[in-house]
Amino acid sequence: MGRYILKRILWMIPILLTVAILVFTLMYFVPGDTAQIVLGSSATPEQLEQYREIHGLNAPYIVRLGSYLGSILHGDFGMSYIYSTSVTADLLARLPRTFIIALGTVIIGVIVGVPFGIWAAIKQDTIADRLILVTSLIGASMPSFWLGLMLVILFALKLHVLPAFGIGGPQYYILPILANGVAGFASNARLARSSMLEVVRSDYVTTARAKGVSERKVILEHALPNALIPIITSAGSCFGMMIGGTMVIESVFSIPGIGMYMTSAISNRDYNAVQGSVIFIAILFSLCMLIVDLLYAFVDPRIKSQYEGKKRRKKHE
Amino acid sequence: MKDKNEFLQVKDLVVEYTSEGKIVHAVNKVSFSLERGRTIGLVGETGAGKTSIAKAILRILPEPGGKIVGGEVFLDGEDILKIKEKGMRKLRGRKISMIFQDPMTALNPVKRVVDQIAEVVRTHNSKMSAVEATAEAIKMLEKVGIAENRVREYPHQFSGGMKQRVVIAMALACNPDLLLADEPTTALDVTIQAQVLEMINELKKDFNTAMIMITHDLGVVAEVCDDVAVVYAGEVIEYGTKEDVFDHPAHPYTKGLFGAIPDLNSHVKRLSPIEGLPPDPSDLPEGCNFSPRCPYATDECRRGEINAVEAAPGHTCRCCNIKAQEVQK
Amino acid sequence: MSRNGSAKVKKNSAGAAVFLRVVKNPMAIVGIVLVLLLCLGAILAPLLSNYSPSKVDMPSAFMSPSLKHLAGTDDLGRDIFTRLLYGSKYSIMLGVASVLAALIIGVILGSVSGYFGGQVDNIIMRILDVIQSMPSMLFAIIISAVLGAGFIQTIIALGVATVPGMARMMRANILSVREMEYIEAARSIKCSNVRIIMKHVIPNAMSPMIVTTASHISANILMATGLSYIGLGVQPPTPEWGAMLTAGRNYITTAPYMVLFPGLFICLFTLGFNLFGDALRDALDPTLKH
Repeated sequence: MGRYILKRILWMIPILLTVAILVFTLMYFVPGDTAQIVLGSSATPEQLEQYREIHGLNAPYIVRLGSYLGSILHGDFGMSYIYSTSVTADLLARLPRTFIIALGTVIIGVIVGVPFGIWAAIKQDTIADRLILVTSLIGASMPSFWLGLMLVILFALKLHVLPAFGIGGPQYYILPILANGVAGFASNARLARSSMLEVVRSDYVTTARAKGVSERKVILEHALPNALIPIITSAGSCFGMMIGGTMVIESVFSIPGIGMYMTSAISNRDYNAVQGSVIFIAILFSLCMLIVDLLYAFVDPRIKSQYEGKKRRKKHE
Repeated sequence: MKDKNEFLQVKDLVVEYTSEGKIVHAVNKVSFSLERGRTIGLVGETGAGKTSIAKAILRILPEPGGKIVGGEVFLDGEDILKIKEKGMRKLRGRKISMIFQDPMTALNPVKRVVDQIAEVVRTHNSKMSAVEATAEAIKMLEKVGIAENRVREYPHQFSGGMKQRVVIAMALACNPDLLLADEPTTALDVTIQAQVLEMINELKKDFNTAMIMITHDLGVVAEVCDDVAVVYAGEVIEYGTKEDVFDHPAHPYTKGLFGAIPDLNSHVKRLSPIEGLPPDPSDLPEGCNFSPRCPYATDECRRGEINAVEAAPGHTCRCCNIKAQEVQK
Repeated sequence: MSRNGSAKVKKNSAGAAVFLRVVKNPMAIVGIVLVLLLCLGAILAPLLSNYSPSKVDMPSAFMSPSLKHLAGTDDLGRDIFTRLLYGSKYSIMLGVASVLAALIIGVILGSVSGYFGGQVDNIIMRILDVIQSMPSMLFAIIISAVLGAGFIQTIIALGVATVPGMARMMRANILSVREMEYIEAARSIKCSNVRIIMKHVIPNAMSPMIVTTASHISANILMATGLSYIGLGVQPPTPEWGAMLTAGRNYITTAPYMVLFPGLFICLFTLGFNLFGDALRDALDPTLKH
């Protein structure tokens, strides 16, 4: 198992370097002159040339790529063209806010969504089940930023109980997390429900009942671990959705996190900042996926023994 | 009518399933009885309702959908269909246990084999510690021929035959008084089949267990059963001792079953299968369920309920033409 | 597994059975009706409304919803309901076109990767690994940033971001179908490779793809509106729902209906596709039913 984790972490390095190359290349070929954008239309040709010289913008593609990758390996994402600040420092300063929103979203999505889905499955065809099913269907069909705006109208503008925008105390995070978490809640509850419904019909659950095991234990110890397997499998894409949602939600609530940093960098054409944020998010996302994979191995012994390389048998599933 | 000597008595058991608005009549007024230490074989085609009978006795029919609609099941004189779910749970796995048909799916893929057996031991011996239960489970697994160094593995690391042994060990772990064996050998190779049957027979003898053997294999019946109930479209159509049913089959369907077995001693060019297919259990024919396929069927067969008649003392048959056939024979 | 196989060989009757099961499901009917209504709205918009979707009419700006203006008017005095009707076609096209493009490319990549295996498979999968190490929304943002805002650009961005998931799924389907017993059976009666691929592998591997198409369409519509919201995607004055919503957020205190109604339309439309997709999935996988 330890060897597998190490291999997975080492494998992240070439993947992330390729992401860096990809993003750098894409940004390199975006039309427009960085110096012109930064200095504005009033700049003289001499000023532009000087700017390019300072920031190494005149060097050929390969040289610029090489030096960029070199500095990334040292944890340095370069300087923001617009603010002349260190992108790495900017990102690290914004990380906690994004992290709070992402964590809150995951809690609503997974820690609330999955149990609700399982509960719905156990109570199949009751009112509780229908209610959860309809709620999650509607939740999955709503743009999270629209829900955010609606929550602002209701709780901030009409009821005046929560702040609408910006950062401050914990109350500033309630609406963003709620708005972003509903989609995760919806998709996890739906998935958990259908996977639980499939599992409770399987033979081994009947076996457990035939053993005289209590219904609680049948559900918690026999059905649930098996139902978690497909839930964890799709948790990766769910994380992606939540992180993607966070980027939009931050701009709805004017929360200066990584997402808003990136979107404003895009509109300012601050390419170093864009590249930095993309790679930074890719790193965070890859770490999430690593955790998902490890959880997967933890829950499913069939996967675990594959990782451990004991028996490599073809899986027919 | 209740006989005190009888250990198990199933009376007029009716099981229905609802599926997409249709009612499937899986088990229709099935009755039979069983003494301690004896084995009854429930014989019939796939889909005849044999497994539903067993699951109804354990009250583990799939929910929602499956339901016991009528009948009584007396175990030691007590109607277990009337017991509360909590009390029923105490019987399951200890007093009555079941060997499931498909060992590939009957074991929980994410639990270690030994834990799955220790669980049933511990469920019914609350004073036992986890360590003791595990030791007991290992002993049980050794009894069915699984070495101690493999017991901590997961089901996917076991072969089909080994999984079936685990399922059997699980069923026998608490020395049940009644064992429901649902096609315990169907999923296995022939050589392993013989071993498993022998094992079940020995374990049964050791514990004086009563057993219901569900199978479509008449060879298995010949080997392990004392009594036979032939099941067709959810009804017991012939019921008697193994000798009665094998040597003097009375129902046309039973005769047909024996006609479909290859016999090494006689030279027959072709086996004679029973023409046609079993009826759709959601749309059973009027009168005798076998009448559409029966070569002897008359108008009388297609009307009303067919009652069981005695072909010989203790040997009943649900057919209105027994006498007529005997003349033909 | 083999049971599965034999059921799918009878393609036509199975298709009819699936169709019947979908039609019998009331949720599916609600979904289909929602989608059809919005499509009809897009086609019949000039007949359904007397207002112009684009003509600026300052005196009637910021009128609250009334019988005259069902969803009110926006900052430039345009009837919001009319704009929403006209805008349906953009959201429909954004969702459908991006997913269809991704489906075609994904199916080709996935089939090639899954069927040939080896080095080709390796290269394709590693490229997908790289793209999938970013959340798809992030990847769509980058592509939009590179291509610039606009309708076609948004379709491309959404499509490219959807390809990896589609390709990976197709590859997995091909791999599992390849191992099926009915493929073995086809080989044993000397079917040619081309015939096996065309008649057995692709049709059987496609049915899960069709199911995900419906749910991807709704996901991509949501993603498109998200792109519009952060200033990428489709731009005003195009009456695309996401763009209208974005324009409305500046007036959220005075004219909340400018945000409310575009969002409601997005909800109804994605809800329609989600319901339909769910019904399709249940119909193709009867084990979930009771």
